[in-house]
Amino acid sequence: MRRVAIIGCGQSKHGRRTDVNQAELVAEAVWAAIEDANIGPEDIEAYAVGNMQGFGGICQPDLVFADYIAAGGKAMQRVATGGTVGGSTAHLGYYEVASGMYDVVLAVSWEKHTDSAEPGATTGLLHVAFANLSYMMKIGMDMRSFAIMGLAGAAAGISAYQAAFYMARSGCRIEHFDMVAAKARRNAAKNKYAHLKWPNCTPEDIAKTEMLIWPMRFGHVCPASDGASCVIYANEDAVRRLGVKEVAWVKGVAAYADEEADQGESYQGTAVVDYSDQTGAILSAKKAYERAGIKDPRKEIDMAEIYAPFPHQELMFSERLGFFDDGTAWKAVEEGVTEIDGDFPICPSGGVNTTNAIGSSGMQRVVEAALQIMGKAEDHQVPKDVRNAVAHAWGGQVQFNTVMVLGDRPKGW
Amino acid sequence: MGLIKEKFDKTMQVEGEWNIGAYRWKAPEGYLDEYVRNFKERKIIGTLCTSCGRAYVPPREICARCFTETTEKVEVSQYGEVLAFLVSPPLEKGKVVIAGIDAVQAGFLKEGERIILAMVRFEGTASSMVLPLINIEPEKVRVGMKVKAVWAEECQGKLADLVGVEPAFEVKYE
Ligand SMILES: [Zn+2]
Repeated sequence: MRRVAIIGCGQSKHGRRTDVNQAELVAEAVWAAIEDANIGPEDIEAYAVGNMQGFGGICQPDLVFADYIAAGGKAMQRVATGGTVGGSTAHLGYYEVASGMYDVVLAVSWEKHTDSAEPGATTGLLHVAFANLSYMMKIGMDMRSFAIMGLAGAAAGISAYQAAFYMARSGCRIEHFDMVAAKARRNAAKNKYAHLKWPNCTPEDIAKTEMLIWPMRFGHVCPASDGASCVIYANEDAVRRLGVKEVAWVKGVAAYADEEADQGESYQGTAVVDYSDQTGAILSAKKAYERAGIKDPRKEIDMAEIYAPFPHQELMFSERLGFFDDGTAWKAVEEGVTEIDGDFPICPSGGVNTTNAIGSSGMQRVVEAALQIMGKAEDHQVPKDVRNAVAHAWGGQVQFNTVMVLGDRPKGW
Repeated sequence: MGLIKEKFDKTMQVEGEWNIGAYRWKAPEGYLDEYVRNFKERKIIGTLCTSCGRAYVPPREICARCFTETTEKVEVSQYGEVLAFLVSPPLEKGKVVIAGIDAVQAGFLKEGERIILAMVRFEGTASSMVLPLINIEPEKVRVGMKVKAVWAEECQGKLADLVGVEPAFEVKYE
């Protein structure tokens, strides 16, 4: 496989974007990346595009925006893997260059929640849950049970169950979730692209927010944002030919699926007993590190951007990705290890907990990890030297994971 | 360069309606009907993977670990263990609105009640289920506590027959 670098990154402003339509939103990130790489659209040979189908209320926006991003006459493929889609789309773009198929490829993913009447919920999550609920009604679920199922669903769906599983497993307390959420909001205040900014936010501020369903508070929940994120990949020769100075090298990628957690398709039981197991994340990390030549992730990796819409997920995934032992991440949070100026910063951008344009979120982790390596993260640049960084994405019925290891030099240098 | 718009603060919104009608989902004929039919006898019958020994409740057609059909049926214990749990705040009108229906207003849930949702593994099974945990104060719930199935007074062979779980033992909390 060929050596591949990220040569340009672009993000739209994230938040409630009533000023643009989906095509304009995607174009905003794409043109920002093209300008960042200092190349022209004619240099791009292929496009990998992706979003969470059905969440934005517009089914096939790619039919329209292809023209807005200069994809006419080029190869274009769309990816859809639920919340993981930004990670998967980033991987697709990488595969296309690493395989030797193309030299310069642009990958962009996005979400525009506000185009839907009830952001995300009606068109997105409900269409995931509706098949199961329909079966359960058919075999005699009563209205009380239906309403009870909706209690957790209305809060944050399966993530509330997962938070409870993580607590039971790790022994962490709700105060640790408050700490992680406060850190996310403080970091977001330093990131001009972020949605939920709260300078000087404290765990006590988060603890004052409404309890949706214990152990999940309103202050733990991510917003429904609009936004797009984009990276441009080039192989070694193209990096030289295009005269790009600042790059982040892709050292290893891996993606693993697992069984569905919760009752699976049409209310069947599955073998995932504990939703916080996340075997797919463990496998993805192991394989990506092996491909990147990394033996001790905690020592050799300098920071991570983890896909964590909810604070327990930052703790849980930081363990599954090998940065902390199983059930111990909350201790690292207590010690400030994961702060922006800590020994192992996690989500210095504020992460998905403060900005969640679902399709964009996985790609944004790649963008943010690359910016940290290139030293271009501006106000949320971590003070320590970043030689290797990890970008993670997660989604599906909690079972899809992607991991990308980026570095300041290619593997083996 | 680029197509970034600075001309407008807002895009124009045009509302439209589209009656999308009914969806149809395919499921294996009968296997869930059989599961709930056994509820009439207050029995929990799962499916067994004969290649790895996992018992699935609710029953499952295939074992995803072995990629084999689970044709064997197996009755599992009425006793289980709380793996993790959620507790709702006291319920109020206007707080639980599902598909446009206020569940408290409609009387599906009681005003002021606190619902405990437990992730339960019935003994001998390889899957966990979400069920209401009843007849206990939320403060007394512990991870690992033994619970048993609670059935409706008159079981009719419906999913609703399995009301939830309750503590299997009376425990004094010191
Ligand atoms: Zn099996």
